[in-house]
Amino acid sequence: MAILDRRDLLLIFFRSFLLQLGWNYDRKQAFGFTYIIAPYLRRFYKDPDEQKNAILRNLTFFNSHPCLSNSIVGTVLALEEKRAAGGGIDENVVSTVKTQMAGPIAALGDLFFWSTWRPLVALSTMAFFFAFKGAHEWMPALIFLLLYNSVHLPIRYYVLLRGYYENVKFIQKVKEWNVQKYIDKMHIFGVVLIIGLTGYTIFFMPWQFSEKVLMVVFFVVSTILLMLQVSSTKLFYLVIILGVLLSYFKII
Amino acid sequence: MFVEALGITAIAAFLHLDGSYFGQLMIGRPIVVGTLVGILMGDIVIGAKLGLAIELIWINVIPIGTTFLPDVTGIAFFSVFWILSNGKLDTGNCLYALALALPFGILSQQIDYWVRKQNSRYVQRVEQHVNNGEFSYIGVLITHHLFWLYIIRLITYLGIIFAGKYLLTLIHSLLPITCSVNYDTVFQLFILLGLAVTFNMFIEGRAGFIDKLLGRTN
Repeated sequence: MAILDRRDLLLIFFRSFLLQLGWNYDRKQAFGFTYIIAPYLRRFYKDPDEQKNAILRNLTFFNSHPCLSNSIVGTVLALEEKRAAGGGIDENVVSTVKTQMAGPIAALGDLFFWSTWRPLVALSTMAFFFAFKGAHEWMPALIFLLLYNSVHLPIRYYVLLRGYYENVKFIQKVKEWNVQKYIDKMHIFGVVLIIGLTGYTIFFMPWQFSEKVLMVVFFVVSTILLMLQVSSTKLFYLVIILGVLLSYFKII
Repeated sequence: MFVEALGITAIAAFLHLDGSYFGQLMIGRPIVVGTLVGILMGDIVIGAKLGLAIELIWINVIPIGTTFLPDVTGIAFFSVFWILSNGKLDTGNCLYALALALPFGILSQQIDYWVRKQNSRYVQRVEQHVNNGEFSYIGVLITHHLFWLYIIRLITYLGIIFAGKYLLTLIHSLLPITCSVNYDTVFQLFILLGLAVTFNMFIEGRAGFIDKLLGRTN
């Protein structure tokens, strides 16, 4: 019989927003992770020495994706709960599961949230920016937040529940979903969106012909330079320096 | 002027914490910070455009493992603040503000780097208190830590915006430029750069990308 009910899991969900607090180079997210689960470890273990050992056991190196690491939080809580109830789980098992789950979860989270979902939302926001031009220009930023968090928050809560109720079986399920296939499709959609937005901003806005030519050439050259591994920071400065020099020498 | 700057900086410093320390709700992203600072300073369009451009240009900088990001919140905040507080909306002003925002963004990042090194002390203090059976100190230390993170960020941002304003005035006087190209065109170029970065990110490492696009499979 699970000790933690839905209300407890909801509180854990809110506490999980502080996972990154105290991030340091020694133990990474250990402080935040301990903060999230400490009150519940004290509820599982009645003996103060066992409480102390449980908290210290979880104050070790941990680093994973902030959103998806809730699955590890749920799993660790479930295992500690079983261990406290005399379920015969060794303390090393808890640490091993935590460590082994962290890497794959981090990779999946980075690939989905940072490399796919956030850029797609930023591009969609750009489309809304043109739609709201002339009035309510604050709407795109709000849409950015709503769109991103409409996926982020439910996933964050869902993986916590699944981690707690299904433990490591949940990770097996995630592997079977073949998330990479969906990410590939989202990337293709993103490319189509970029081509559409670039075409719209250059050809359907009131630029002079010379400005349109400049923009097309600039986009193509930037893309090629980026493919040749020139960093975006260098290109950013290239534009600025070019602009300053051309202005100073009155070429433009 | 100082009170207005303090108020806007207080908000920007709070929003920065979302990216690195709590939440990850994306309220600290350039697109949001740029728009918000634009609203507070009276020109939403400039703030939103710059925020969008900075968001896309550094969209491929991802917090994987121990990699350290440039302070994109700071870059958006500094550039929009300097452009709109100057009172002179021209291309020269915009170019210089953007040029200065990046190195100060990197300086701000270094402050973050220093803070993260100090954070180990919090973990040691937690260990000490837990060993003594003082479990409630975990919550106390979290609150304490959050408060100091905010204060450090606020002081950093305040220092940078005033130092930057002074430097911009100096640069304008040493290297005055007038540009016939409208600042709208310049912003558009930055947005196009951001689109190129995002395009490259989506197709990077995809040897069979064209095949995938055309639905060809082996």
